[in-house]
Amino acid sequence: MIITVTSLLDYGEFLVSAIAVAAVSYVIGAASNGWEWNPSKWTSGHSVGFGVNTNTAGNTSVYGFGGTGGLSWTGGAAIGNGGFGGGLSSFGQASYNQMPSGGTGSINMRGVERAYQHEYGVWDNSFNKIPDIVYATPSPIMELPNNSGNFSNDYDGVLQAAAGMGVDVAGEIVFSEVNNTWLGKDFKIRSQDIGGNGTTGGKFKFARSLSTKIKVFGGAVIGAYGYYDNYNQYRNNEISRTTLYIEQGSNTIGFILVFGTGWGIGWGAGKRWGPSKWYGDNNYRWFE
Amino acid sequence: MILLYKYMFCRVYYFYVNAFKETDIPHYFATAVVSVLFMTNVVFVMDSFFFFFKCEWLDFGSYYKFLALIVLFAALFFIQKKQRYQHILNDHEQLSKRARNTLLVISVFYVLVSGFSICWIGEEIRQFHVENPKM
Repeated sequence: MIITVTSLLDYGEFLVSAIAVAAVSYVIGAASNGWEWNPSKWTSGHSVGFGVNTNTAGNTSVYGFGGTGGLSWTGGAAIGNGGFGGGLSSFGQASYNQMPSGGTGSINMRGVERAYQHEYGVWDNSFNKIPDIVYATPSPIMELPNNSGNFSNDYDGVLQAAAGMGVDVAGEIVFSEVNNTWLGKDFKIRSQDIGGNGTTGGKFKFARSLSTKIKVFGGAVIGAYGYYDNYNQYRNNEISRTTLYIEQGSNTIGFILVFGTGWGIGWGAGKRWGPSKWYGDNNYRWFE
Repeated sequence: MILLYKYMFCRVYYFYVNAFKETDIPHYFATAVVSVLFMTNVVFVMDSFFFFFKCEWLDFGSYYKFLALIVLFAALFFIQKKQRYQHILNDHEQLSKRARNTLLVISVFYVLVSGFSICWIGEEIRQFHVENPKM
């Protein structure tokens, strides 16, 4: 089958987003390897990975959140012990059940892939869209005048979680005590056994300082926006009072470094795409 | 009021330095926190005005985030220009212990009142939306 521009567009934002994530991940991977553009030459253990995987339905999904653990073609590598990639399976199940990952902030990109499928449809191997499955009834707690029962028509929660993850990943890439690495001014990742010099910048003076700035300032901005967003939705009668309290509580937990990020992603994804009779959209489509 | 903002700026500044052991951007962090507090008052005043006089403008609430960004950047520019934060910190050092204690009590009271006021007006606007749902 010839893939034309039109068919590419028909394929939906899913593909466009996936390509964008892949491109960004590829550039990061190249940058972290001294601008080496050939992935096969990237140094294992010192690379920011990216990966592509094709599942049984023929959907190409991109895992763009590799870490300092090495190049991965099937999923993100670990950032920190039990970090973003450390609990690939645990997060996936946990997020669908509205629970955070097991205390370490892990993420399963399979969940993100399913999220895309949920929103933009599922295609077979011949790029034919598979008909949508009827969704379940939204949770009763969401039945309010201004949103007709849907939890939220936008992706603010998921986007905030993704932004939080981006901030944490960036901070960990710059300086990671767990992985014993730091990123110099020359965009090369080094072991923490090396102190640095004028060209690379100091391990503590440059890398740790920058990492703290990214995490604290970025996290504070995202958290503040979360508070505002929840307040605004409540003010407009788009969420209930109970939901407001729950959301603000969840947002507060999100301030905890690394774990909070995992919590935020699990919370946002589970609420939007998980099955639950008491909270969120109660979407059990992926469990049929 | 300015003295109160300066005091809160300093408290957040030193909190950041002590908590994160980082001295490059504590003034930015403190500015951002004070900006949020300031925006809380702005939102309360604007929401009150819209609610009591111009209910059809209540949807403007969706644009507060942009207003907050403008305020934040303006505050950052102000605080950075001529290194004003250094002057604020120096002034803070000149304060007597009694003055600091008084400002501490007032600032806690101010934060509580700001939080309460924003919650109260939010409830009122929500009630309006309940009674007048969007079609």
